[in-house]
Amino acid sequence: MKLSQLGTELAGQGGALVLEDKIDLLGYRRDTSIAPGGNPSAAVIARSVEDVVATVTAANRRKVPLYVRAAGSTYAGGANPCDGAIVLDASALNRILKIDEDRGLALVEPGVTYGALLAELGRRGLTLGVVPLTGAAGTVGGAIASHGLGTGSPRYQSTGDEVAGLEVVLPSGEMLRTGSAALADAGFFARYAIGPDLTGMFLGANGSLGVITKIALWVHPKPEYQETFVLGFPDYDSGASFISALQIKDLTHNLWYGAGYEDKAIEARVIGAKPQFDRAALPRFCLALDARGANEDVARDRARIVAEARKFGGVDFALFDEIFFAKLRRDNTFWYSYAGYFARSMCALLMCSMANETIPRFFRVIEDNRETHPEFVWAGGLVLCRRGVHGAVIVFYNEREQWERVRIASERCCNELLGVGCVPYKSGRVWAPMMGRFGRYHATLARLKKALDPNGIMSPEILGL
Amino acid sequence: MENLYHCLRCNYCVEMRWEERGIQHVCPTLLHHNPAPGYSGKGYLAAARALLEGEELPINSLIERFFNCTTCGNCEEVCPVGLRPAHLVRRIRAAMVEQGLAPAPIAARAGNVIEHHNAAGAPIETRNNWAASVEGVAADAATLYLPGCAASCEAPAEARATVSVLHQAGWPVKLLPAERARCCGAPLEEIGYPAEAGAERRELAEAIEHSGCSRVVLSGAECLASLTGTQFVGGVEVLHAFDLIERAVADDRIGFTPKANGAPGPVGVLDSCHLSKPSHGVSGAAHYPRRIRALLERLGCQTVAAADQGSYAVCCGAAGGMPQMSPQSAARMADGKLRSFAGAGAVVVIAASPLCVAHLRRSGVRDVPAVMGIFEFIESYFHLRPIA
Ligand SMILES: Cc1cc2nc3c(=O)[nH]c(=O)nc-3n(C[C@H](O)[C@H](O)[C@H](O)COP(=O)(O)OP(=O)(O)OC[C@H]3O[C@@H](n4cnc5c(N)ncnc54)[C@H](O)[C@@H]3O)c2cc1C
Ligand code: SF4
Ligand code: SF4
Repeated sequence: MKLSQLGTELAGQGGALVLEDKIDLLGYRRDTSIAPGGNPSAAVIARSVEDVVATVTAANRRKVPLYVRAAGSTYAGGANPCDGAIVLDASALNRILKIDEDRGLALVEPGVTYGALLAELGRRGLTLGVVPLTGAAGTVGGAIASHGLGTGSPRYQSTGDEVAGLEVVLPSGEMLRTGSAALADAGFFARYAIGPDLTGMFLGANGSLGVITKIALWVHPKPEYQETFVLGFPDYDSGASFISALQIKDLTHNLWYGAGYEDKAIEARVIGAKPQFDRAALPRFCLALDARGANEDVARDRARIVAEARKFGGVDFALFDEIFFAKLRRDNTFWYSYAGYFARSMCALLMCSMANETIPRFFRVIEDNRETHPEFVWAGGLVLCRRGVHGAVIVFYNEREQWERVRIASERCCNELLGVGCVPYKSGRVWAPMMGRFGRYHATLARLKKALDPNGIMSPEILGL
Repeated sequence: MENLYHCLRCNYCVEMRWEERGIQHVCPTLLHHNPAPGYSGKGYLAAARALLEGEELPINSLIERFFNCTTCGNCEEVCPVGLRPAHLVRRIRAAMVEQGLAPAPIAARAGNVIEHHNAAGAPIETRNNWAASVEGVAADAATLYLPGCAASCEAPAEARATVSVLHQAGWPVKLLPAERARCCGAPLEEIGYPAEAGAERRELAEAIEHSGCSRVVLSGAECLASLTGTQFVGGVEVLHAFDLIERAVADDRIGFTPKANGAPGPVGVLDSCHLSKPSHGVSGAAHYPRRIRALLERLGCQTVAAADQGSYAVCCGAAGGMPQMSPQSAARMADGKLRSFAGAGAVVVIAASPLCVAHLRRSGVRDVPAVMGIFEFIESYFHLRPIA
């Protein structure tokens, strides 16, 4: 196909592949979210940093909006372009540049999938701190640019906390290296160096402040031993208090993953597997834990965790482990609960972070929405972090018939979540209408954006900017 | 069509790596033909949704994309939702063909089958030429051997070796008369001619029934996938030739001793899609390559695995009309496959699908492992002895 003038200009810069065919562009309209998509005019599959610089520069010169994207698997609308935009596809920037065991870090391009990186690290007995549940296909760049979390979060918190430094192409086309790597001779090894932490500015920025082209990530020894167990609690309050105790006593150190399940999910799974089970005997909340580390450390921590749980009315809930959680491990996947979980229905995922005491109110919001919107199936879950928890409201809907309605219901739910003290971590277009609620924070972000991107070409609207 | 709207857009079908499951990459078309997302499982679903919603799409690009899928089904294997992009591709192709939009190389391949009853377009009277000097063909045999068009026309050495090995094992076979040989329909089905495929398959079923044999033994992987779903009057057992040998070894009815030339060194077994991906039905769910590896190891061969393996192995590019639509891309797929085996140290790559054997041999790459059919390999390196 003959390229347009813009296409020719973009293609002329390097090895980039420029796509202008409508059929190829269909795939760039939206991500996994319920946020409306747009029709981009072109997509550029960048193969080098030079391609990125050239694309950003061309977009700037023409004042055409530019959206960055990799696998497009985020459910927050961070990668959804506006009509006429250029999409910079970073997925082919996927090289593992270096695994530096002396410095304890991996230097990668943003489009590398967690699956590819873990495979390489695994050969050296190493692994990553935090990996999203979609790690097989999800990219490192996409995760850190949208505040990823997942396995590893009880120990390391968020994907951003595992970033040692970045290389970023700014909206001007200039290149920035953050942390110790600001000094070329020093390279990446310290994130907090020289002055304020500029790395953090690009984490969770959803491409609105620049294109990440290199990422230095901390690497860790691969745990030698793994086991799972589940604790059941009589209500959300006691579960929340237990989580606080767990965290303040640093008992999360050998926990690789922790998932909190609400009463409906517990009931569905247990009664589904054992129809005769007495519903009244079921806990209302449970925390499923995947412990990894040295064998003796895991055994010691598990005993302490179970003892701690008892203080809050917690009991060993081996049945849930047996019928569900341990199976995920047997299936040889750390991409917990992913495979098949979303089968046969689309879901809106509204992701937020909260302090532990907010947990009961978070589940109340879901319960209220079940009553207000019985046309959708509502579910909720928690991911345990080093501090606080992440919550997911999951709204199953029929994409073909309920697309508009689920958006309205979700927006309302997002506002309710904010009302009880939950804050979004994966923001994007899904939360953009609510960004004004973050007052001076958002105003400051807008000033930063203006300074770095005076033409406003990078991911306009995504963060309400 | 409701399923079109269940795509999560998780990107698994586009690119993923899952070491523990033997997944290195997913889509051969994206890897070796064009990396644009319009050529992926997810892309095909998106295009189908757009069509369903009445969006105007450039027709030539649409044809280019929908006819450059190998229909390998790897996207179906990895899809966590259980969506079936390869099936969708076949349906859209059929709709395109019906509207007279089949690309010329595809129409030519279909024409071969419709006119000559084999995908290679060989004159029907030459169909049994491969069997000219083979021992083991008997008009009164109870077992019917159908090599399939790939073996009989493009990989005749495998057809010959199969008959020869079966003969040594005590199973003489009967062949269909050349003029009654028909295609199983699979090559037509995957390129968008389901009605013609059905007609071929029916005629083949009639010929099989007419042969009076109670058992049909096949070489073709697609034939197996196609015929295991066919109802035969009087009930006919459908097997891959490997099934017979495997059973006989398991029952201690036959044994193998290495020939003087000895096994050639590490061998790789190709995970042909129709024989290893459950999305292809009974034949895929039977995991032949895994069983072939087990047998070879039992015979004392050293086997090596390519990085991508099992149900998730990346297609070698032989099927779906890929070699006809885009021969260079199909050759790159074959090349990639062989290199991946070479990387694992294989000196021979064995396939139980003659279609894959012929395609890999044609790919023309140098310094890569030799390619052999499973029966060619057995015959070349082992003496077979029936055990009384
Ligand atoms: C069912 C399901 C479960 C999921 N579970 C999790 C989970 O547990 N944890 C989690 O964190 N995520 C999860 N995700 C979301 C997502 O899959 C992961 O975060 C993934 O790693 C994102 O990578 P991506 O390549 O898909 O990013 P994309 O969706 O392509 O992009 C995400 C954001 O990052 C920006 N971006 C991408 N690349 C760059 C770059 N180079 N420079 C600047 N900005 C960039 C984009 O503009 C966009 O705003 C889940 C998704 C699904 C569908
Ligand atoms: S069937 Fe194979 S070639 Fe076709 S889209 Fe799926 S993975 Fe790609
Ligand atoms: S793997 Fe399945 S759900 Fe995921 S993008 Fe592909 S077709 Fe859609």
